[in-house]
Amino acid sequence: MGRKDCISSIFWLIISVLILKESWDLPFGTLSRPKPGFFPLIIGMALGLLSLTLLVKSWLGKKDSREDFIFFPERGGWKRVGLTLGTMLVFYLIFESVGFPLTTFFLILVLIRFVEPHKWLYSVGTAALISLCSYLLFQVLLKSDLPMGILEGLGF
Amino acid sequence: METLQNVLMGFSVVLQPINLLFCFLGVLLGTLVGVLPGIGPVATLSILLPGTFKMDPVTAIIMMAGVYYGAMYGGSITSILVNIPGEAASIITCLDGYQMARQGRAGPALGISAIGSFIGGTFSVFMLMFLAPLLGRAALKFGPPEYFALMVFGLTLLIYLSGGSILKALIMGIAGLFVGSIGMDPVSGEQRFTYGSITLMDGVGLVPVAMGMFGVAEILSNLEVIIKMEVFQTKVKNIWPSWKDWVESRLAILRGSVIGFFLGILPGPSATIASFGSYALERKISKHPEKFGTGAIEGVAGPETANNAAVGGAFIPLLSLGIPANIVMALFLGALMIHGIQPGPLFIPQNPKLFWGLITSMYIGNVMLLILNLPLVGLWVKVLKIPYHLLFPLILLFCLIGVYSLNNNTTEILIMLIFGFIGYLMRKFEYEGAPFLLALVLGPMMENNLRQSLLISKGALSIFFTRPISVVFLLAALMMLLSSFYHHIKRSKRAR
Repeated sequence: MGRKDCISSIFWLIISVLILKESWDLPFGTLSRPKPGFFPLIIGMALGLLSLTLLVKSWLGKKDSREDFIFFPERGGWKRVGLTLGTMLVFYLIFESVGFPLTTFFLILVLIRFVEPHKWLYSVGTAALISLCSYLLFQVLLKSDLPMGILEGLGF
Repeated sequence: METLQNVLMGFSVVLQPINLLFCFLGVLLGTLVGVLPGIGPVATLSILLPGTFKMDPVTAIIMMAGVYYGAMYGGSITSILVNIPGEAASIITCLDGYQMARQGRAGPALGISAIGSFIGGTFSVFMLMFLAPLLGRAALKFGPPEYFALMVFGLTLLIYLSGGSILKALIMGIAGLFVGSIGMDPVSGEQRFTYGSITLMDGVGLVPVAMGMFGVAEILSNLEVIIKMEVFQTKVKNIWPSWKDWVESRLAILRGSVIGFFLGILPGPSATIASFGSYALERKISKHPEKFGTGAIEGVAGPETANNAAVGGAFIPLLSLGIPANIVMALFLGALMIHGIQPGPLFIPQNPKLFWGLITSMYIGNVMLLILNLPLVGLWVKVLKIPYHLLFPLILLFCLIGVYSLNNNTTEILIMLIFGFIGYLMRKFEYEGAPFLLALVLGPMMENNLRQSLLISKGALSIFFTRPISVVFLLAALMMLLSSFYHHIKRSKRAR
C-alpha cells in the first residue's frame, strides 16, 4: 500500500473524470427510460468515488507502510520487458505489409537473441525453424488467411 | 430413465471420431499447460478461442472443457516434483506433495493425485448431470431484475474472494464494466467511447483483453525474473498407491469431491478456492494436524480431488443461468456466443446434444487423463525440461496470430498489447485481473437487464427489492461488502 496506491488511484481518478466528461455528452434519459449515457455516468461516478477513497487511504496510511516502490526488482528486468513489448509492437506495425513468415522470423530472432541472450547462429537457426513450422502449420495445414506480404510477389 | 436416455445420446455424440479426437487433444493440451508454469488454462483457452470459429460448437466445447479439467491434472505434477505450482489450483499441493517427493514418495503422490482427480472429476460430472437441468428449470422464473441482481451478486462475490484489497478489486470490477460499455449502445445504436474507431464500434472483444491480461502480461511478469526450475532428481516409481496410502486418503478424496463441487458453483477462482478449502478442512479434522506440511498424503489427495470436482460445479451457473462464474467460464460463454448459442435456462432443452455431449465427454476425458497421468507421467517430467527461452516466444507468437485471426484485423493485436501492458502494470500495482474480465463480460448483460427492469417498473428502483429472488441476491452482495468493510476497520483498530 502507500506510494503504489497513490499513483494508481490518481490514474483511476483521471480515468473517471474522462468517463464522466464523455458520458455527460451522451443522452442520459430518465429512470423510467434510461438512455446510452445512464450506465456509463453511474460507472464514472462509482469509479471516481472509489479512486478518491483509495487516494485518501494511501495518504492517511502509516509512514512505515509506505515502503519503497521498486518497479523492477531484478537487474535487467526492464530491458527484457521493454524489448519484448517493443518487438511485439513492431510485429503489429509490419505484420500485414511484410507478411506473416518474415515477421515471425523477426519476432523469434529478437526474442531469442536479445531477451535471454543466445548466440547468433542458434538464434537465427531457431527463428528460421520456427518460422518454417509456423508457415506449414498455419498456412498449409490450417489454411489460415494470414498475409504473406513481401513473399506474395514471389509466388507464396 | 430420461437421464439415462440423454446420457446414451451424449455417448452417441462424443463417440464420433472427430469429437473423441478433440477430447483427447483438449485433455493432452490441458495437461501440458497444467505442467508448464507461466501458461495456464485461461491463456490457452483465449488462444484457442479464435480457432473454434471454424469448428462445430460441440467439438469446440468438448475440446475447451478438456483443456480446463486437464490443466487441473497437470498442475499437480510440477507442484510435486519441482515445488512450483503449474496452476494456482495446485499451489497447496506443493506443501505436502513436494515433501513426499523429497522422501522418495513422488510416485504415490503423483498416483494419488491422479486418482483423486479422476474420482473428483467424475463425481462432479455426475452431479452436473442432475443439477444443471434442475437449476435451469428454476431459472425460468428469472426476469430482468433477478438476472441483474444475480450478476451483481456474482461480481461482488468474486471481488470479495479476490486476494488483496477489496477496494482495488472493486475498482477493477467497475473498470471492467466501463470497458464493457465501449461500443455501440444495443438499444439506440449510439456510439459510446469509440472515438471514430470502426473496431471499437463492436466493443472491446473478450479475446484480445483476455489474451493480453493473462497471456502477454504473465509472460512479461515472468521475464522480469529468470525462473530456474530444478526437477527433483528422483526416479518416479511405484505410482500405484499402497493399501496404507488408500486408507489414509480415501476419506480426504470423498470430502474433497463434495467440497470441491459445491465450492465450484460459487463465483470466483473456484478450483483454487476448492483446493485451499479442502486442505484447510483436512488439517482441521485430522487426528495428526502436525503432519500436514511434512508429507501428509491427505494434503495431496484432498486438494487435488477438490480442484477437479470444482470444474463440474463451475459449469452449473453458466449452463443453467447463462452467467459465467469465473474467467474460464467467461471464455466458454465467449465460445458459445461465437456459435450463436446463448446459455441460460433454455440452453439444455434447446441444445441437448451439446449439453449431454459435453457431460459424457467429461467422463471419457477423465479416463483419458487417468491414463495420461499415471503410466505416462514420465513423459510430462521430460516436458518440464523445455527451456523457457523457447517456450515464451512460441506462446507470444500463438497469441499474436490467434488474436489477428479473429477478424483479420491488426487493431485487435494492438488491443491485446495494450491490455498486456495494463495487465503487467496491474500485477505491479497489486490489482486482480479476474474481477475486470468478469465485469467486461457481465457488463453489457447487466446494463441490458437494468434498463429492462427500469422500463418494466417505469423507473421505480423498488422492483429490485419487491421481488424475493432479487432481494436475496442484492442483500447477500451488500452483506459481503459490509462484512469486508467491518473486517477492515477491525484490522485497522488492532494495528493501532
